[in-house]
Amino acid sequence: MLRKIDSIQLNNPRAKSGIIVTTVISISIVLLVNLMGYESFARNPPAGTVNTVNDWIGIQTWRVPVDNILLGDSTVAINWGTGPVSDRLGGTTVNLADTTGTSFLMDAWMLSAYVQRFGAPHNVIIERTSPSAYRVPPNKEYLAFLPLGWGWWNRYGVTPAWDWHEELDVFLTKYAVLISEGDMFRERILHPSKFFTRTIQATLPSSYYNPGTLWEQDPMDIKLNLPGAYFSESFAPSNSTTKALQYMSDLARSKKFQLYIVFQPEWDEAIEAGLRTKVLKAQEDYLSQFVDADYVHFVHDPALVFSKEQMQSTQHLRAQAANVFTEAYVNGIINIQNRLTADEAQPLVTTVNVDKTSYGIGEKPVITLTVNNKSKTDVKGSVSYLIRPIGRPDGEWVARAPAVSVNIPVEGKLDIELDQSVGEVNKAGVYDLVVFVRQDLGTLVNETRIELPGKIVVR
Amino acid sequence: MIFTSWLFAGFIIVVSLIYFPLGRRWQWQNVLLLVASYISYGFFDWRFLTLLAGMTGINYLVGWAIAQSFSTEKEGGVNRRRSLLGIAIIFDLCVLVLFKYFNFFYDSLVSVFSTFGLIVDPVNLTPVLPIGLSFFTFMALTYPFDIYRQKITHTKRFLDFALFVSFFPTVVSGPVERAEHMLPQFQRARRITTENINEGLWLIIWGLFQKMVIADNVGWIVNRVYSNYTHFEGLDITIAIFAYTIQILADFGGYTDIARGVARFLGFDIFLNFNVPYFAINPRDFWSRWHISLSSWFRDYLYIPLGGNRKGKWRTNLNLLITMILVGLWHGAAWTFVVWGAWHGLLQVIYRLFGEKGQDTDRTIRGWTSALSLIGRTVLMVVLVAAGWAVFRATSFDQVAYLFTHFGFGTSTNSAGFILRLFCFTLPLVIVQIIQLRTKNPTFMARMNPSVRGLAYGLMLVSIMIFSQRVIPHFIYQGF
Repeated sequence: MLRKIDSIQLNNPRAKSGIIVTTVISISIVLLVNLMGYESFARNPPAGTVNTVNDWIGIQTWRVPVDNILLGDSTVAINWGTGPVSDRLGGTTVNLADTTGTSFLMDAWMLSAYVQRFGAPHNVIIERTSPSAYRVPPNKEYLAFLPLGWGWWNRYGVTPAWDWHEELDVFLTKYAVLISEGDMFRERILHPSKFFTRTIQATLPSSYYNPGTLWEQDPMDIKLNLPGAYFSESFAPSNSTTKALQYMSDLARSKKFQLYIVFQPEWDEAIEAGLRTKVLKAQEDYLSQFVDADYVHFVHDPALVFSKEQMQSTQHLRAQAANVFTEAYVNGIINIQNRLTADEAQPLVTTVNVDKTSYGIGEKPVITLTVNNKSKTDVKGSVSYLIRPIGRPDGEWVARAPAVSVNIPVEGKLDIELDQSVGEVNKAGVYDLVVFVRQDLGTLVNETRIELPGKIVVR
Repeated sequence: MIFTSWLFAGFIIVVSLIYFPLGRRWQWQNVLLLVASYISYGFFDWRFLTLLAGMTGINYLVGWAIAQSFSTEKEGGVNRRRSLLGIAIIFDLCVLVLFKYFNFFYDSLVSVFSTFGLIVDPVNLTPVLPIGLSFFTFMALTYPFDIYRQKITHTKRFLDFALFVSFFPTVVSGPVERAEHMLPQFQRARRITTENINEGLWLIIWGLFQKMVIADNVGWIVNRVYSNYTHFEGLDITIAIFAYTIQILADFGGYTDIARGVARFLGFDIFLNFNVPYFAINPRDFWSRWHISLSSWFRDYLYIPLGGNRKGKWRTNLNLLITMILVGLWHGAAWTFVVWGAWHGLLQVIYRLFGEKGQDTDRTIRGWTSALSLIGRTVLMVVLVAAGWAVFRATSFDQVAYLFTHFGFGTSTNSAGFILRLFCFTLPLVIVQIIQLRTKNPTFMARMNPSVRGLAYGLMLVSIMIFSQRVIPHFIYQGF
């Protein structure tokens, strides 16, 4: 071995062609390894971008349209269930939310791509936390790893205000993964199975309840001004946010679908101290330029205020609080749609029957509805219910029966028993029964809400 | 500009695009390089361009005056020339002391006085240390010194001398070049040969690999332990000490190789600064392999003028100690550096006690016993050098005391990870250095088959891209 090493001394340097050969081979190796990395990241995108990639794969591959689309940042991704949306607004629901870093532009692009493929959905509900998410431009990494051809951001209605060097940045992030994702590349070399793992799969419409995060709480202390940015940031939306919101608003009006911009969850201590007054006023004033009476609305419910114990951070909520948030904004949307469809709603008379006066813990009540159609047209819609502790908000529900479609002929009657398949009443106490009778009126709904306080007694 | 930045890569490309088409017009090439060198230095801190220019000017003038003295005062003039050299030395050292050592000496003096109960009002100058000051001061000083010794003649081309002092590959962190070595190269047409390009390519890529892959990644262990040292003990501290031993070689060796590679591309040969130093078998051997340009500078401009080894055993030992202490002090204004220097001086003195055996650098293996002896002596030197580095890296004597009282072989949950990281990142360095040692050729790769070179460079470039830290950590010796 040492003699072989010694013999290296005897070789003579090569001529110019040797330098060229050396350069070509070394560049080829770099490009080959980079290509392997590119393929790996196409199958297994960098952490944090996977959701967005999956969302785009879904948009490109779904076979049927979706009725309700949820868009926005991690608050939506983590804290919004799709079940209550489907139950009360009807149809199927898909959650396409990702993170703050993707910005409103990503929401606009996704919506545009969906509309190009399927036409208008029924409802688009969007939330991004103010003021941080209104301020950010799109993060290059999120743009680079989407399964879309180069220049895709020019094909979906609204273009980012980029300089050439920003586009170069995206190019290098996408195609020079050895440089742009060196840290993750290193991790995959140290754990080779990650090199070949496939993590991408299409986001699909689904119906789920009980979202919320169990993560350890971020530092939150109003006396110490933690988190600092929450207290110091002013409302300063970026140009790309304004362009994106304007585009989505115009699209809603031209394609005639409903667009709801939901306000973020708020921390009660900050509200009481008056620390959010300015930002919320600025946000409301800003969003007012996009809203109208018929298609674009914002949902700003006082119920969207939470205690520190209910929050994992100033943006993310624990499970129960997430239900409160979801139910609160759905109530807000229902109120708007009820107003819009007040003249079209048909008279229905609904009777609710509960099989017992009291139940044991864990026992499922059998609840039957009788719906009489007193109108002169058939009525299509659904019925559902939830059970909540007496006097508490809808979002504190403990059990519910997902929506069951109904089709009641003119002057007809329908008896339907609902299946309480979500949650259970597992504590003794007195509970309210809230029944939702929904009428589908084109792309809108009209909901009749029947509240039966203390109807369910558990001993 | 930092060598490992994209800015420097762009800078080199721009300079090369103008430099090479100038062909054999070396005067214009020197002007270009001078301008480029000042621009490059200005990127660090434009305020010290005047200092660089001023130091260049003073040393050039003194050199001219000494040369004039030789030509006009053929028989006498020794005292005058000695005085002129003294002016250059005093000026250069004053600048160095003012920027680098003022607070150190003053604080030390205040501390001594306070021990005797004398309270002295603190004066706290907070000068910014001009980057590369320690290097270009010593380089500039070689000019009047070597003219004084009649090793070189004064050059009429001030620009060439200015280029020598400010040459961008060497100005910030060396090697500590000599006017005698560089001026003739600057004052002739350059030949850019395929050998230059091959060697330059190897040196640059290997230099980047050493710095960005090896040094920065083993440095992670060092930073973790040293920044929170009281939380570590046993094997973790031992590993951190050896990790720093590797880090400083890869960091500084990497820098020097990049500098040499860039200079090779431009047609210049600058000093080999590291010659597989951790394969040394005694302190004398070590200092003939480690930071060769600096150790030879101190030998030629301090140790020998002090008398060297010509004035008896005790004086030789004293000269060695003084020289090595000043080598330590050169690295920085802190007592830990002084102790490090003294440690190496002491090692040299102790090894000299063994006579020729303690100074022998013969590495011939004649059998098993000589092989074992060679390995043993090499390992011992590594351990002794590593012990010195532990002090060198420390920020206080409390830290030194803790490290030396808590190192050992007891493991923790971190130990396996540290060992694996140190092993994986040191292995390439060891392999390359063994080949360099056996072939006696630091640029052996330049002589290999082009395909093998391509494969090696490709893998090294991939490693650099994957394993380099995203924030550019500075080179260690830029701090000196």
